[in-house]
Amino acid sequence: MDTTSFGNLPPEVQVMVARHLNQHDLTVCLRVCRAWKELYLPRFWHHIDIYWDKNESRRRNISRALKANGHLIHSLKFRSEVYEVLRTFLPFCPPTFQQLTSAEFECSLEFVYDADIAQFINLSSAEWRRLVFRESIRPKLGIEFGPKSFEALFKHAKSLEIFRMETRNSTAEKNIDRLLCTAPKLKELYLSGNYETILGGWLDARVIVNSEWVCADLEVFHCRIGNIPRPDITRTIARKSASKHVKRGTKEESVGLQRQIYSKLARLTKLQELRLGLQMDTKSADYFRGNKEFWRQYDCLAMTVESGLDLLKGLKDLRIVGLEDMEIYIDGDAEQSWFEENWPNVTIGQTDYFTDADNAPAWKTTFHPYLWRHVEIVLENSEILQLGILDALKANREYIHSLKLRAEEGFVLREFMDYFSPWCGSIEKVLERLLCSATNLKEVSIIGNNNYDSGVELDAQKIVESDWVCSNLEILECCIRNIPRPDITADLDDDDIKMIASTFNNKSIPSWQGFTKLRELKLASHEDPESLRGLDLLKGLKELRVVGLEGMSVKTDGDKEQAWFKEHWPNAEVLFGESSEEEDSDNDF
Amino acid sequence: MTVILVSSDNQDFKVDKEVAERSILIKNMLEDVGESDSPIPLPNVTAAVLTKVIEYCEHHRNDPVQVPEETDDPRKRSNDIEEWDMKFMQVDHEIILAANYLDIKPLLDVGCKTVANIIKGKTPEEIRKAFNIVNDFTPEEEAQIKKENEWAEDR
Repeated sequence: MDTTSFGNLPPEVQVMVARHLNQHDLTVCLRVCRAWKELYLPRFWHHIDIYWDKNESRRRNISRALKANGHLIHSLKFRSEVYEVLRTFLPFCPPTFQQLTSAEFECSLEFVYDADIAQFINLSSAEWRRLVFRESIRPKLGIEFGPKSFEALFKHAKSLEIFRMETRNSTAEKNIDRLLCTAPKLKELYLSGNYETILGGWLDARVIVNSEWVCADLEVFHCRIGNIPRPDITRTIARKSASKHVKRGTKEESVGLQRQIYSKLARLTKLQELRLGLQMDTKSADYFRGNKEFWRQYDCLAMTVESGLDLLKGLKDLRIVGLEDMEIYIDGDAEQSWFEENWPNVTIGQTDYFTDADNAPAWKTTFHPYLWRHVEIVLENSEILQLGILDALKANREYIHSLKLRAEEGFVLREFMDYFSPWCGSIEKVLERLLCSATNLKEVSIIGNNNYDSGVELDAQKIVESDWVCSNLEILECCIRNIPRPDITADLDDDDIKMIASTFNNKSIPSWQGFTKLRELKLASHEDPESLRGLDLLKGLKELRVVGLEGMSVKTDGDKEQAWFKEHWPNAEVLFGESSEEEDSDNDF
Repeated sequence: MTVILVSSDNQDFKVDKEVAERSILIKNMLEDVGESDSPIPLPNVTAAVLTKVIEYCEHHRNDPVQVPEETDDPRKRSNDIEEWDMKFMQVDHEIILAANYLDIKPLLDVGCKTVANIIKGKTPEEIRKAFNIVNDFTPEEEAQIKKENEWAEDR
């Protein structure tokens, strides 16, 4: 090539050259000469790739550049590893991007909030064509693409072509459906990331049968479709009968609904990729033992000829069909010959039935260990938050120095446990294991909610069997129940009391004596009719400063007990709590 | 079936129609005039350049007629040039001009990639040297532009 002749090329060719240059090359071109700067500035800004970090002066430079040239941006790629990425970026943006139609986020999508996404979408005064969210780090909860984001997105439904969320997301079923009903140009709908349907990000078969999808050009469809009764599934699932996992319904209902869904998909005649499943990665950091079996789709299309598979034979452009981790039966002769005949070139992704409840690798964490030093968890009836808490505790127990579990009003632990029982067992078990294995543990507070059924408590009958190792424990705040207390209802003579107390204490308290560093011991729970006896065994706890016995039927005002307290716990503040009448009168003020 | 192309310096080239139609300009002209034996004048292309262009079209006669897709995603772009094309392009910017004029997209694309590969990885000064460009920025201006865009260079 005659290198003196670049200037002889017509400008449109010179600009074409720019298409083969990356952002770094273009910044160099801007400094060659004035003519080149003029030529390449629009091209440089046409597609911009921003790496967002915590460097303040760099952020200000980006902001200045965006405010000067933001109107030239057509397409934005945004990479970052900063938490709350949009919240930190938005203040540096100009009020509008006049030509922005495509954005791709490749960042940590944890703490990317609904309102911020909405604000970002609203920044463009052009028509959005493409929105992509791709995780760079696997998030715990995922992107919050909620009602506000959708409200902003729906304004662009007419122009939207690509909508991809390659991350755990909590998009609401009805909004995904509405998008399919209002975006005529949509080519790609890609929602991957969560197998836990409770988070969202799936379509409800019973809802979509009644909706009118307009996206006739759809080429890529990746979304779970659930809530289909599957009475044909009868095997044991996660050690329980299938009825625990499978939606109820008759065979006729099931096939009827499936046929309607197949027909609906069949109208997407340009489909190249149809992904209804999602393969769980058993090696990922957030994989819990037993997930594979528990979260397998048991409410999906059966993909059998009998259920109406034949309705899909018109999808001739299909190349990929993803059926991973779905309870499907495609191994039958009828199905195999159907695939051979109708989809000879289609790659089908599927995974076999899989149970790893006993031998999967243990849960690993992406959090740095120091984050586990002080853990405070609010247990509430939001399943999202409960997800994995117990396994996470279990897995990170060696890092935990203090643990505070607080049960919100109305929290019913039993339901929670039932839901997660395949791998969690019970909180008592986890707590037990924690106390038996977390040698660094210094503080445990489990604050119940007065609800006897809440279950945030330790069962005396069980803990007597166990061997607690957390000898550095300084604070124990937990209610211990299930101790027989015949002394409360009847005046028994001392021998009987001693007998009962020692039956319990002789077995359990020796392990307690190891806790010589215990400073606070709160065994209280309101309205608790039970308590501990055998007090004398606790005399070794010389560090004790606080003993909480509120709401317990304790008999500490006897002469013997009072003398014992004076002798052994002279510095401990013993809280008995007040009777409920007194509390009520206090509250009047 | 063949067609006759006439270069700006009045040389005739007899070419298979299939090969000539790699040029969208010629393809459209042939469609416009219909069945005809009259030669096609190409006043913007010299015989030397036309020889090379025809050589390219002969070599790529069996390629699928593909439209290079306009993409904003740099990862999808490829600067790979076939070895044959690479040697071929070590000629002249006039080929690029001819490709542009004759509307032969793949050839134009190879030409642009060749120019891009010259630019890649160079400093502004090296680029100026390569293309014989005079720097009309003051050192302060150049430093200012560098500073403004530093955020886009580093990662």
